[in-house]
Amino acid sequence: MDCRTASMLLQPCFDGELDEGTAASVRAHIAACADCAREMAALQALRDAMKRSVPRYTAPQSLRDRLKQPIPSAGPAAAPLRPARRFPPPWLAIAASLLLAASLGAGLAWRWGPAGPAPAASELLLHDLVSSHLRAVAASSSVDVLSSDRHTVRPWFAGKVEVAPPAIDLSAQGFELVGGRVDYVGARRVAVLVYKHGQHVIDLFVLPEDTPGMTGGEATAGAVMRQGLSLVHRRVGDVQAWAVSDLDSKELAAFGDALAGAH
Amino acid sequence: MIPSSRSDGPNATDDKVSRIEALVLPHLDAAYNLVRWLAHSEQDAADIVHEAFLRAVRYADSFQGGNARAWWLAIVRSTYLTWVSKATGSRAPLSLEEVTKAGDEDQPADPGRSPEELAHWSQCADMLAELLAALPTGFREIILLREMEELSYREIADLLQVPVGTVMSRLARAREMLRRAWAERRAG
Ligand SMILES: [Zn+2]
Repeated sequence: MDCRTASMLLQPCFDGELDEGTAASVRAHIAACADCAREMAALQALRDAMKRSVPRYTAPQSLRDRLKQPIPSAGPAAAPLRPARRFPPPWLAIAASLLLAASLGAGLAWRWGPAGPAPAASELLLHDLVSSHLRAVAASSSVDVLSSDRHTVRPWFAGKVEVAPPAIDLSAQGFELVGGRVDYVGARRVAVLVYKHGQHVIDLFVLPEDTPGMTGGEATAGAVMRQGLSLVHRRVGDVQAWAVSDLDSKELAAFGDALAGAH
Repeated sequence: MIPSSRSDGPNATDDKVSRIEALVLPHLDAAYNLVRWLAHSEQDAADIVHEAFLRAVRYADSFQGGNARAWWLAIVRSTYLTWVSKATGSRAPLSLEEVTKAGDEDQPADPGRSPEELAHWSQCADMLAELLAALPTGFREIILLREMEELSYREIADLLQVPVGTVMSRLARAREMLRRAWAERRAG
């Protein structure tokens, strides 16, 4: 194994994420390479130091007491547990994604979240959209594919999501396409186009027609507000879309109109 | 929350609560530790974990087997994110540029930490804990999940809802930042 490959695999090896054969090759390289050996020792030193000196907090008794208090009931009746899922084989996908650098969006087979039609499916949908948007802006990067060229962004989603996003250029209206990512709404992977308007980020979620809560007509014309964010629903050609942003609701509605009108 | 008048009655809810208790209470310390490290405050951490517990009961049906700890920590984390967005009030979320910048440069400690908190650190934890507390949240979080909770890359990817490749690169970056800060502190 050459040093370049080994150095990419050092951390997964250190974290026990490699299959035994690959791990053995990495270890063989480390035994012969001073640079990689030093790197591995540094990782171990950091881990040891953390174990020694980083305190682990335990839940206070007052919290345990609070959790014992009766909970007002909410939500639908309990559904029977489904059989346990298994995690996919850990290493295979990692090796492929790492070495081919093609990991973007090759994400998760499943997620957790509100399952099935809930009492207010449209509310859960809004909750999901807001959470996804907040998660994305809190992450170190909210775009998986960075491109202002709609002809690059659209094909990038092929095979990754059920519903392909529309390729619409709104730069003349002041909404610049910066890229896209694959995100989750309910249990589905959906395309998100990321636009910018000044300093504001707009996430445009392109949703399957049968998304629970999708038909909630409340927001069709104007914007709704949740947690300080604006949300606008539009039909764009033959797809359903929700835009989420910290733009004010009028501006986001204007974005929605531009989008619907451009198609 | 509104008390239910549904026909499934209180028993279904009781069942759900006991099921969730069985799932998450063994991992209560893990949840509290994670949030305590993210939120920097005992009271906030307790409130967030409490709220997360209520959510877990509400979303009980979404647990379809698998790793209960990772499922629970995912709920805890999303409750934390909601809490952050509420706590920052009308302030807009970070813009994309700020976010990108935060990933590219070393950031100072969270301005929200009080002098008492800093004094506390200097007394009972050594500098590595302090340096960890000063990492930007996204990097602090991934180190905690890996080194303290010992979650696998796959579990972290599912929890953060990012591709495994992103977990690897963010973890590597977080370690690099922490190591550099640590080396500088030891040298200085
Ligand atoms: Zn080497």
